[in-house]
Amino acid sequence: MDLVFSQDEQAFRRQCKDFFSKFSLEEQNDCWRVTGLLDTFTEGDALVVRRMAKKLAKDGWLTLSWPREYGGQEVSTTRRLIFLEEAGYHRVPILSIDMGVGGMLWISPLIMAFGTEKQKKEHLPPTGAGDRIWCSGYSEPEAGSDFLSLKTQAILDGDYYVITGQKTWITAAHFADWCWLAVRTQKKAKKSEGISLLLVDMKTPGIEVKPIPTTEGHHSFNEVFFENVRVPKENLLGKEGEGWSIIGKALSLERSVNFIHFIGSMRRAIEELVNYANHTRHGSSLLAHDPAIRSKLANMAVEFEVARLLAYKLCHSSSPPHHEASKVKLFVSDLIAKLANTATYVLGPYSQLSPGTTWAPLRGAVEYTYSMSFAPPIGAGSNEIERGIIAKSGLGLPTDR
Amino acid sequence: MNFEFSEEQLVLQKTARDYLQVNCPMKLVGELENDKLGYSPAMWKSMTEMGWLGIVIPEEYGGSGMNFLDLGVLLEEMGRAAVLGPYFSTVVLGALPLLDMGTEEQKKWFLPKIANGELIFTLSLLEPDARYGAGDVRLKATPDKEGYTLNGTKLFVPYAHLADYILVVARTAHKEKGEDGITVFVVDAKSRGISHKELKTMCNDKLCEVIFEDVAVPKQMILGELDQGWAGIQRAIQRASVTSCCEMVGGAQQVLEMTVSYCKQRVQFGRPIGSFQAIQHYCANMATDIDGARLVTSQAAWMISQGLKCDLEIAVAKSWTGDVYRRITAMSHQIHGAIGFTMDYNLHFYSRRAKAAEVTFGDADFWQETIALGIGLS
Repeated sequence: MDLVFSQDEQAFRRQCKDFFSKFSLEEQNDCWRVTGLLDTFTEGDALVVRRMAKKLAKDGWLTLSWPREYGGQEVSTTRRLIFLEEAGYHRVPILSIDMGVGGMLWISPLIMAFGTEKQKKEHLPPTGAGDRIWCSGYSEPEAGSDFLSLKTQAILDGDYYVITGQKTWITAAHFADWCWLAVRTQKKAKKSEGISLLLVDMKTPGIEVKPIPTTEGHHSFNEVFFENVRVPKENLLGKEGEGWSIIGKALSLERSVNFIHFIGSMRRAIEELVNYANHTRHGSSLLAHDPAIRSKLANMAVEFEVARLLAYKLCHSSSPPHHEASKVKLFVSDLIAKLANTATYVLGPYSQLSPGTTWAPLRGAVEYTYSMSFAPPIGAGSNEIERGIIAKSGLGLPTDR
Repeated sequence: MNFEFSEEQLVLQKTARDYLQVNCPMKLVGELENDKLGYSPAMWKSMTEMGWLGIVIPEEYGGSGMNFLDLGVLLEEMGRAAVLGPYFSTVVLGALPLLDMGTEEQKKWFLPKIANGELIFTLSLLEPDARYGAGDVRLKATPDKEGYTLNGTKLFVPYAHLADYILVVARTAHKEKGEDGITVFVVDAKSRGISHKELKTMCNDKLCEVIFEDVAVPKQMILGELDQGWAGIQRAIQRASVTSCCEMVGGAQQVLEMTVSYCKQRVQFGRPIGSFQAIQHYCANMATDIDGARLVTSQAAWMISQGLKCDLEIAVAKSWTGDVYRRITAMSHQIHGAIGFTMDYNLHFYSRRAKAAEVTFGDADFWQETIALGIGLS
């Protein structure tokens, strides 16, 4: 057992801190709003995302963990963890929340694993250079948690797949260059067997993107309509019908990234709340001396530590089973919601004040973060689904069907 | 970063688990709970032979010189088997403080006799008006010709009825701060003036009231420095908390396994109850929380074994693990329905121990201030 970072790893963390603090400062000066307690909302601004991607790509930061043969530095798991955690701590959204550049973190590794040489040559260089922004097309109106009921179909017609259907909740689709799309290529008795993965150029004729505004008038999600979209059959990743297993791997990778990012941002959030309590008075007494506030923040610190170790351990397991990732997702997402709620007790009535308004403490971040806090326990695999996975795959409990 | 036990630790784990599975069945635990001594001398002998009593005692004092994390591995297995006896009080509340605070002479005298199973130790800290803080310790130690005279009452002293020596946390001076003026004494349990009474407790774990009436203690039996004992006791409380967490993790894992096994077998409405979503979700929550408890506990134990400062991590471990063990046993009762509530079924051994462990050595509220300070609240 060895639970501390080596001297080298600590030095690497300082390097990351250095890079990200300069980065954050530049971005803020260029009107990037740091709105969330746990993340930053770039307003889905394509220009901002692209600029950030280019900056991150310079000096190879985006492709740190890629194999050397694809231009990466093959950094260790621990360094990758440190990098992502520091990105989260400095609220650099691009690696997780906006997902637009998520292509770098899970789409690319899967293209490396399953792609043809042509596909690798086509996608890896621009993605690693921050020039190719991705979105992932999974959910549909009738297929949320019930993912396997997806209906968007791709029918082979000569050298092309013709795609017809509708996706929903697609983050960053309004500015993404390419789409990692889950389609049904065959109708089979077992629904999972007819799913395939297509890489789709968002400029292909027949694709229409409609925004879905959520709380705060925030625009990140979209509906995407496919009307007879013709995609070369070479854009199939892996084999027809292999989509479900590839998606399983994609989900695991995505989750491991998100957790570490949130560990960084939750650590920052707790620090900010402690700092706020230490410097805010209610009458003659310091907020930090209120026993109820102390208690709530101490409880958050305990749960944070649990979350951190769960996420770290997952990161350091090679090919962990699905249900281990589910446990981390479950715990971290619930904690995000609890932390967002706890923050409102620290601020009291001030927690209602929105970003940009007078008197709003912490940049109005608490209001914003609370309003968004319903999402994490739902997205990327609802917690009910995760519990089902833990129970069945993890504990061997019998199926309910 | 490495989260795994070493090869040696895994061997220790397996050996302990195998031994306890055969030699400490729940039936025996039930008998020991109703037994006058409250432990099995035969098991004590085997434990000694296997080196468990001397596990963290350095080789020069007759032990195996293993570290705190190794002790944690062993205690996790004892927690899983719900072992009853004075092992914890002897090793954690006796040997560890002796190692931490003792003179060379004291260590040479006591530690080998602990390692060879000859001496049973315990520690008396709590009093009617005192919990885990220094300020309220009132048992008085007044100096006299030979040493000191002890007067006062201690409560919740584990296995005082069996112990050969009792570490007594006493007040030798009244200073501005309660922590200053505390001295720890190693007291011969057969000293004149000591009387004890076993309290009837939730776990039948032989917690005693011990009354000291003009008990004479030679000054060579001071453990550590005069008036400066509190720092060592704080460390003792910390180590006791973490080792208790190790036991709790073992017990919790056992409860989870029992529960899952029950869920697969018990059929209602034509299907195993483990196929119902409510049950599945309860079990998933239990499993996740227990994994968290195991990690925070391992972290604290590992940091202690490495001599790293870890006040915050210890507080986190005890807060989380105590709460988790309690709530998963409650959840397990809910899942089991009525059958889990009967004396025949084994769950009650664990749910009682969970509550006792939660409130001993500080519950989450007790450790909160350490955590608050640890995260920088002013």
